[in-house]
Amino acid sequence: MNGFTGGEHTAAAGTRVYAGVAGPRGAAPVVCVHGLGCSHRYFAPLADALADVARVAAPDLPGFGRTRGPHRTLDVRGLSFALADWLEATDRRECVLVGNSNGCQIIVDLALHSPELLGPVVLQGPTCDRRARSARQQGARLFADQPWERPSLGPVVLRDWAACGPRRYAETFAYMLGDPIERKLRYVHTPAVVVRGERDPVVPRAWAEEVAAGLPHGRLEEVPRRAHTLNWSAPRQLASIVRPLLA
Amino acid sequence: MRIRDSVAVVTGASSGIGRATALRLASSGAALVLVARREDALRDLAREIEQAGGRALVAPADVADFDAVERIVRRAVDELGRLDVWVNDAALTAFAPFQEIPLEDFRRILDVNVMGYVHGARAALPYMRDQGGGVLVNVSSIVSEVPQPYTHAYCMSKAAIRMLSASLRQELRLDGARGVKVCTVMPATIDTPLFEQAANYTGRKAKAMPPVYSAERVARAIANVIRFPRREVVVGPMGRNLMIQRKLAPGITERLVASQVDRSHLSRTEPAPATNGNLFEPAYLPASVAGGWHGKRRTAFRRAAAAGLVGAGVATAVRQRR
Repeated sequence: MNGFTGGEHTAAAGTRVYAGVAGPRGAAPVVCVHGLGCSHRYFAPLADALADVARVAAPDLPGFGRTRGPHRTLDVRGLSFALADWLEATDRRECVLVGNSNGCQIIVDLALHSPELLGPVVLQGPTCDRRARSARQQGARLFADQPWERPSLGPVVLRDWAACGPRRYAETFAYMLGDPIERKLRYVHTPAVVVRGERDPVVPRAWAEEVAAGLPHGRLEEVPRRAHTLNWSAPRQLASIVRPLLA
Repeated sequence: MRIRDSVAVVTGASSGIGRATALRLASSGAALVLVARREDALRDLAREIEQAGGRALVAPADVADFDAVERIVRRAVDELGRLDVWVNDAALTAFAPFQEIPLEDFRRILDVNVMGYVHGARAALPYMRDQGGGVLVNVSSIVSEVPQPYTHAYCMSKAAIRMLSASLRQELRLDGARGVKVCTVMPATIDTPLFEQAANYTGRKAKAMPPVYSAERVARAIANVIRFPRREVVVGPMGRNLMIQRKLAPGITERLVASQVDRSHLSRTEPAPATNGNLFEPAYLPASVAGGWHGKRRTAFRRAAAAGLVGAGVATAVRQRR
């Protein structure tokens, strides 16, 4: 299944950025930011669910999916600069930003250096829990998440992991672990929703509450009986949270 | 390197091998920058690529002009975002007795075939090194190893290109730019408009010397070295044989090739007026991949003949067994 009806290439961030796009041209833009080692592909069900009301675009950040990256792995700031450059190059200022997992960290980092680009924000499964900031703990939690995900996610994510490669994956993972997201939350000046799957072992309820409380205009929503990757496992529920944010 | 989503520049893209390569890379999902002198030919090609769902920029230029080549690199990076592949393919040739070719023609061939490639490499490599990866493909020829009479400038330039590639490979390795690859592709006789567009002072019509292979075959080899870079690749099995022959028996091979050129490269019946061909002004011929030498049909015929021979051999062997 591919919810994206097309793709676009943009010269931005020192490379040729690919983005999957869906929905009618001219509709309210929504931008999806992928998590660690992933790409636009796992946003397909969400894009499908939003395509009637929004122009959904999911860029592959440099080094991931179909966008070639620089030889050196980009850190959180590097990725958020790349996102900022792409948002500007494609004229998508102040649109709704939906992040999954580590994508949330990139969106929050964007608020620090490019607040003017920021629109309403949906942080779905924001990482990394302040109380479990080691590779072993996060690895164990990601592993524990697997049984709760739909099996069809496996091939999609494995393909993307192969595209980014083990070195970039590991280095990005290290950058993500070292990112103090809780200290940046107060710069997110736009309406923000933290979305958590009820059974998500990666983002415990306490951490999700802490993130929501740290955001100036934040609130928490929980999707019952789902886990970490709601854009794949619960696209309709996630879409119904995004819809009211479309101006 | 993956061709899909890459940005590739092809020089000499208006016709022949360059055109076939551009089409091939575009169909594999690369964004193309088309370089040649003839803007109208490039526009046609860009339209063809875009109708098939690809992306192509038209960048008319003479590769002998370094400033123009540098501008192409800047345009590729500005408009398409990066630069992954550079195919140096633009080349000229002249058929002439050594004392009769005007020196300015000789210089022009070296200028385009050698300095044109140098310009491409010099403009593209800094970007590839910054990116940490890229492939430079230099289209040389088997005449870089197997000499031919009456095409001195061409043979010299093709040998020079081969050495340029090798020297660049060494330098990149010493500098630690492991991700940047330089590959030389050496085609045998290819069915392209080259022979008809060439300068000719021999008084005899230039023909494609058999065996003739199709330009698409070279394009496939170029796509393959981009995917899996190799130092040098020969296109056409007869070309490979000749290269080995030249190494094993250089003297005999020289003499054989000389007489073969005299017999089948330059016509003994059809005359040709003296011309400087497309050296200084681009050709007026329709810009196409093939040059009317039936490379594909001839390859198919050779294959059928070879299969027939093998079949006959097997049949004879089986009969004698009984």
